[in-house]
Formats: sequence, structure tokens, C-alpha cells
Amino acid sequence: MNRILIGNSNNKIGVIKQDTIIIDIKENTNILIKDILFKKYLFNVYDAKLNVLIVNENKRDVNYEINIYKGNVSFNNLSYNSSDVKLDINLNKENSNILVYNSVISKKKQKYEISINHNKKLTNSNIYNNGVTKEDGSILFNVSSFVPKKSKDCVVNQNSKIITLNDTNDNEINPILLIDEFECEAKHAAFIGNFNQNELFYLMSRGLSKQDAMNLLINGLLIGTLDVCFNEKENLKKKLNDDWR
Amino acid sequence: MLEIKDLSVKVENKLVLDKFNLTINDGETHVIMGPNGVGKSTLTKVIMADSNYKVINGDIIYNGKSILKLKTDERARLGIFLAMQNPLEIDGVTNSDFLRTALSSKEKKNINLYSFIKKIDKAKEDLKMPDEMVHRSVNKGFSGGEKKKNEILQMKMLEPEFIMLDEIDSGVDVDALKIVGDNINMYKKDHPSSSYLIITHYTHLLKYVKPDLVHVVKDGKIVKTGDYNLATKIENNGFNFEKVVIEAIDGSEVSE
Ligand SMILES: Nc1ncnc2c1ncn2[C@@H]1O[C@H](COP(=O)(O)OP(=O)(O)O)[C@@H](O)[C@H]1O
Ligand SMILES: [Mg+2]
Repeated sequence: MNRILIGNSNNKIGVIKQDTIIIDIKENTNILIKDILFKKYLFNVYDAKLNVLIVNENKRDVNYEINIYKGNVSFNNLSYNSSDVKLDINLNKENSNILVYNSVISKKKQKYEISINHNKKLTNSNIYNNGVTKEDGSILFNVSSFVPKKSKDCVVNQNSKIITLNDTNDNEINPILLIDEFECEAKHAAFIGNFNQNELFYLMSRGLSKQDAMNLLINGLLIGTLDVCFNEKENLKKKLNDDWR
Repeated sequence: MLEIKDLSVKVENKLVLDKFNLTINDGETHVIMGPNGVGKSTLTKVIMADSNYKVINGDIIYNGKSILKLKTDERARLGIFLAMQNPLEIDGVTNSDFLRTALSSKEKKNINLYSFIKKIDKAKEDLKMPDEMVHRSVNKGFSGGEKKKNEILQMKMLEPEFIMLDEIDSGVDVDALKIVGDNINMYKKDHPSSSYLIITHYTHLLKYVKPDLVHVVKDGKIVKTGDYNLATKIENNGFNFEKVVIEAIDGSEVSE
């Protein structure tokens, strides 16, 4: 079994055209997806809380679409050297909120297209992209947030960080904020570079070798930040240490 | 324990320590006072091998051997510890993962999880820190006082023998300062040969942790050495710190 669904009969799953899976969420639900079997994952959330964790090691491109009709969605994606990912988020009713933690380990060229549409007022989006590039890896984060007129009192937040552990010059972050409504709060931050020297010094001053300190910071950046439970994080850290170095 | 000989240090091409000398013997507690910007933190950072600070002259001898060529982590594993003036927040890295890795590095083997938990629980209780701090990110969302307590918690876990406390008392309220002071004293009792270099502007902490010697630093070197009374003098005239230091150097009496 690759997918675990906790929730109950009010949720519905359907498959169309072999390559799209539709998941309707009407109750508070946790979803863990460990293998990408479909081209497209479509989540419709109706007045519920949804927590998704995707562990993606797959070689095929994948598209996620999340439509929220009121509710809070926490979408956690951990990609290890996967193919390109597209993520479309539509906040379709008031009090629809999305939190995205997108963590990427890249050993080859990878592209992430993320777009967030604030279609109604009082909607929030917080998007955190954290990547590490090694070997032949490079990452492109394209993040676009749209707030049309009348979508008042929205919170729009984009935060992207790529730690370059190889010598690539191709890492790129493009934060796009298209905001037509003045009465909303928008911010973005982008960082491409190395681990902070002061953080390394602090860890090493407690006896950690530089390598151990970097591994700890990689774990922290990619897994520590995720909005998933303690045990899940421990599993992922173990996987990162054993299989994904 | 530690001998600093004619040490000159540059930071960003500026000479901060100028032929600095200090010897700290086993079991001794030394205090360094002095106005802001004279190089007190620089001294601790260079002892800990922070690469921003370049040694251009002199030597640092630890237990009879020069440590100048050793890296930060190597010095730490020899038992040198720095409680920093401004402990960093490290998002995503839990206190537990940090300390487990640090202890494993020090003992050169994976440490036993059960004894680790027992040890950290005790340290946390001694410092009256909340239970859930163990699984929280290092210093993230901690108050000033909690950050300083966390430095002491790390000291208790790693059991170093030469301990530098850089303004461990600033940003800490009276209750937390008592807890910090009591814990340092407890540690001293359990580790009788441990030595201390305490940087402070006040005597609050020194009421708990009695110093053997108090040094005043100015212009990159120690300009005056005395006992606890020197610290009191400096504190009483804290509002006119520069004047006191100058008078201390001149050897003239400080007006009360
Ligand atoms: N990392 C650094 N980069 C640039 N200048 C520094 C750095 N650290 C210290 N300095 C400078 O060195 C001098 C001494 O600083 P510091 O040792 O922090 O003083 P103190 O701890 O006595 O207040 C100051 O002039 C300070 O601006
Ligand atoms: Mg200082």
C-alpha cells in the first residue's frame, strides 16, 4: 500500500482517465502519499482541515491542484531528485488558507511551478520552498501569487531558500506577486547561497564536525520545517541519513 | 588550564587585541569587565577559533599545548566551551538532535538514547526549563533568559572543563539569573578542576559565582587586575563606566 487515508466516509476518491485522481475532503484528514502513481492529484477541500505529506522520489512529472472552499490545508512535499512539479492552489471561499512546505534535494535539474490564486477575500497563503543542490543538481522555484481587486484582507507570503552545495550557477528563484488589491498584506523573501557561517560556528563550537553540522542543518532545513508529526519527521530524517545522502 | 601569550587579533583588518596576556589555572574563576567594544567577546571567539578573528601574534596554550592550529570543533572536543553573548536561533534543528550529535561527537560513539534522555531531563529540571523545549528548534522563539539558560543546559550536557560565559547575565531577569548562578555553582562543585572566564558588566552573577580575579580590559589588553572589590567599584559607577575604567587604570580612588 502506498497511500494511507485517515478520515471517513464523507471523503470521496475517484479516478478519471487513468492519470488523474480526485480526492474530495469533507472531514479533517491526513494523507500520506509515498509513490506518485498519477499524473495529476486534485484535492477539493470543503470546510475541513487537510494535512498532506508527499514523499516524491519519482522520475515522472506531477501536477497537484488544490481547491479550497473554506478550510486549512497544510501541504508538505519532500522531493528527492524527482522530476518537475507543478502546484496550483485556488482559494475559492473566505477563510481558505494554505500552508506549503516544499523541501527539495536536487541532484539533477528540477523545476517547481507554484501558483496561488486568492479568489476571495480573507484568504491566506504561506509558501515555504527549501532546497539543497548537490552533484549535477539545480533548482528553479517559480512562485506566483495573484490577488485580484476585492480580495481584501488577504495574507500573501512567499519564502524561498536554496542552499548550493555544488558549484552550479543555475539555481533560480522567481517570486511573482500580482496584487491588485491594496488592503492586503504581502511579503516575500528569497535566498540562494551557502549555510550561514555563524550557524556553522555555533554548532561546531559544541564539538560537531563541519560535516555533522551541515547534515544537521540540511535535516533542519528540509525536514525540521515540515508541518508533520514528530514520528514522521524522525522517519524522514532516518531516510535522509541512510538513503538520500 | 589556559595560557594566552602576547595575543594580537585582527577583526576585519582592525586590531582588537594587542599583545593580550592572561593565565587561568585549574579551578580558577576569572572575570573580565570593560566598556562595550573593547574586545571582550573577541577574546572568547578567538579562543573558540571563529574564522572572522585572525591571530596575528602570540599563542593560546591549553593544558600545555598550543591550540592555534585546531579548528573550532576540535577545541570544543578538548573541553573548551563558550556560552555566547547572543545565542543563535536555528530553525528546524531540534535541541535534542543538536545535543545528541554533539555528545556523540565528543564521545566518538553513538550515545545511548536512554542515558541521554535521563541526562537532559535532569538538566532541564535543574534549569526549570519547559519539557517540550527538547523537541523545539534551537533557541527558536526562546526569550532572552531562556536562550541563556539553554547555553547552560548545553554546558551541563557536554561537561567541558574550560568555560567562557559571555554576558550570560544580560537579558536575564532576577529569578532566571539565580537559577543560572545556582547551576554554575552546582557544576563547579561537581567539576572541581573546571575553570571559568566570565564576562560581565555587573556583580549580580558574581554574588553566586565567586571570582578569584577580576580584570579590566581596555585598548586591547588587561589594564587592571583586582579581586571582587574591583568589580563592585566598577558596578557602582556603572553610569560612568569610562571614567571608572580610566581611574582604575590610573590607580586613583573612585568616588562613590
Ligand atoms: N564579526 C565582526 N566583524 C566586524 N567587526 C567586529 C566583529 N566582531 C567584533 N568586531 C569589532 O571588534 C571590536 C570589539 O568587539 P567585541 O569583542 O564584540 O567587544 P565587546 O565584547 O568588548 O563589547 C568592536 O569594535 C567591534 O565592532
Ligand atoms: Mg561582547
